[in-house]
Amino acid sequence: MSANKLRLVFNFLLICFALYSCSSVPEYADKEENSMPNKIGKSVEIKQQVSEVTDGHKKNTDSVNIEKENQDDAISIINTKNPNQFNRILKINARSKKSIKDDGIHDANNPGAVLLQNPQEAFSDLPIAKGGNSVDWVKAVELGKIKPRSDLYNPDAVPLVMDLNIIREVKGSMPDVVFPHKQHTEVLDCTNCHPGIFVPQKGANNMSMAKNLMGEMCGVCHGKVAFPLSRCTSCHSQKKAQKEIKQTNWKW
Amino acid sequence: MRTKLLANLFFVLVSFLYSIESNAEYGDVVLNTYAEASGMKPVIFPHWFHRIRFTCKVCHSDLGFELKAGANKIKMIDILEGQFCGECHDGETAWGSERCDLCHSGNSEMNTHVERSSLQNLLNTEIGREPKAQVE
Ligand code: HEC
Ligand code: HEC
Ligand code: HEC
Ligand code: HEC
Ligand code: HEC
Ligand code: HEC
Repeated sequence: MSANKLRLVFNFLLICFALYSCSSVPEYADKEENSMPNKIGKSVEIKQQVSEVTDGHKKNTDSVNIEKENQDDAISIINTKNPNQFNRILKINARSKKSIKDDGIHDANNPGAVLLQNPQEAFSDLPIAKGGNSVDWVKAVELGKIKPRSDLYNPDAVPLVMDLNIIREVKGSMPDVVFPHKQHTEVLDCTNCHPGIFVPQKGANNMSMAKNLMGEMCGVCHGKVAFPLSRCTSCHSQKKAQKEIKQTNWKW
Repeated sequence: MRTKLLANLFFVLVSFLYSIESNAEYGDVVLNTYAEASGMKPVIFPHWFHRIRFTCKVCHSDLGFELKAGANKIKMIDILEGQFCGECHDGETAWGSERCDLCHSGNSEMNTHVERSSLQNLLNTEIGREPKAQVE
């Protein structure tokens, strides 16, 4: 085979692969059967639309429950498709589809796979937050939904909590960053951060968003295990001091 | 010729970006520094599962796990001797290390890495993948 033909075949295979891979992105409504591994998937969608009509923006908050409700509720198959539903194309359903067996990293043929817990089962009772595990871990502890041990052997050990907020002024127009020691010392030890990641002195560390994204500074944890960087306002939570906003005195 | 080359490059890029996509849970760590080279499947460590039961401090301070995937150089012999995962997976605190398949549960040919990091998401431009915040 000539080199040209070989290249052609290679190209073709690449394109096939690219197209195939693209087809496995299931977050849009037109790929219904992907995102709802449910025999009566149709009814699920319709029920969702109905609930949306009644309580406006409050839909999609707990798709797991919706799925459960519909198991014995086949009546809602009656077509009530609302042409003006809020999200027509975007499918916001991060918790509905995940299963250990088809998550892309677990081996489905592994005999142990059936024993492992699906995240959606564990998360069904936990408060929702945007991004990451789609769980608000701080709130989950506050509400007493989970009780993570801070000592391996003593379930009643209480962590040494320090309540000290550090405000980092941010260049540009984003609100300032508030770093709360309280939420961090509830789950972490001082030595996890000091002095390895941060020198314990206000303003002594050179932080930037680029560093965070590359896995340094806050990005050691945020964007990997703790809530992800896409949740901007959780960190950028304090409005800039009034003096910084330049005022132009227009007189008409 | 030039355009063909560019088109080629583009497809390589696209297929690469999509090939690292998965539905794995945020924070799942794939450990494969030694496993596959020794004929075992890669290990998957679920952060979400463990953080429901323990705070970060227990592992990353008391037990001394480094905050970097692959940095701990975990060997099976150490686990069997009660270090690393073996401090808990000893048959008393949690099921024991004879349950190979529960830890060595990964697909073949994955590198040691943490799943769905913000950087990985950015490269994939997975906008719209995240659920809406709860309205209360
Ligand atoms: C601080 C203690 C602790 C350490 C360290 C630890 N585990 Fe666990 N792990 C647990 C407990 C507790 C359970 C739940 C056990 C049970 O269900 O009986 C568990 C369960 C699991 C599960 C099953 C999750 C499921 O779906 O049921 C896997 C897989 C796992 N651990 C892997 C690991 C690996 C890999 C390591 C080392 C990198 C590790 N663990 C280190 C405490 C620990
Ligand atoms: C999650 C990481 C983290 C943990 C855990 C943590 N700190 Fe900090 N700490 C920081 C950051 C970030 C700063 C701000 C540094 C800066 O502004 O450059 C800081 C600043 C400080 C400062 C300087 C305050 C000032 O006004 O100058 C002290 C003192 C301090 N930390 C003590 C502690 C102690 C004590 C603990 C344990 C109880 C602790 N930290 C746990 C991240 C952490
Ligand atoms: C060693 C790991 C680590 C580092 C470094 C770290 N964080 Fe955190 N942070 C956490 C964890 C764990 C939580 C608990 C919430 C979660 O996991 O989603 C948290 C929670 C928070 C919260 C509270 C969110 C809430 O719901 O109340 C804020 C704000 C925050 N981090 C900001 C920062 C900022 C800003 C930095 C950098 C200066 C930083 N963090 C560095 C681990 C870390
Ligand atoms: C984990 C906390 C955290 C999150 C989440 C976060 N940031 Fe930041 N951001 C910081 C810190 C810390 C700085 C550096 C502040 C300083 O200069 O001291 C910063 C700085 C910035 C800056 C100033 C330029 C620079 O790099 O210093 C911009 C702009 C910015 N962030 C935008 C964003 C946007 C947009 C998002 C959401 C996609 C976001 N940030 C999410 C912590 C965070
Ligand atoms: C608690 C979780 C866990 C269990 C159970 C477990 N392993 Fe491992 N194993 C690991 C981890 C973590 C590594 C390190 C993975 C890496 O980085 O390559 C590892 C690595 C290995 C390696 C390669 C490294 C080396 O030391 O040679 C072999 C072989 C291995 N395991 C065999 C087994 C066998 C056989 C069993 C069942 C008797 C078993 N494992 C059970 C977690 C586990
Ligand atoms: C049961 C033990 C355990 C608990 C609890 C735990 N981790 Fe981990 N963590 C690990 C192990 C094991 C690794 C992988 C280390 C390796 O590959 O050598 C890891 C890796 C990490 C990494 C490195 C990821 C990367 O590749 O950069 C971060 C960041 C991290 N953990 C943060 C946290 C935070 C934040 C918490 C608390 C919310 C937490 N961990 C709770 C065991 C634990």
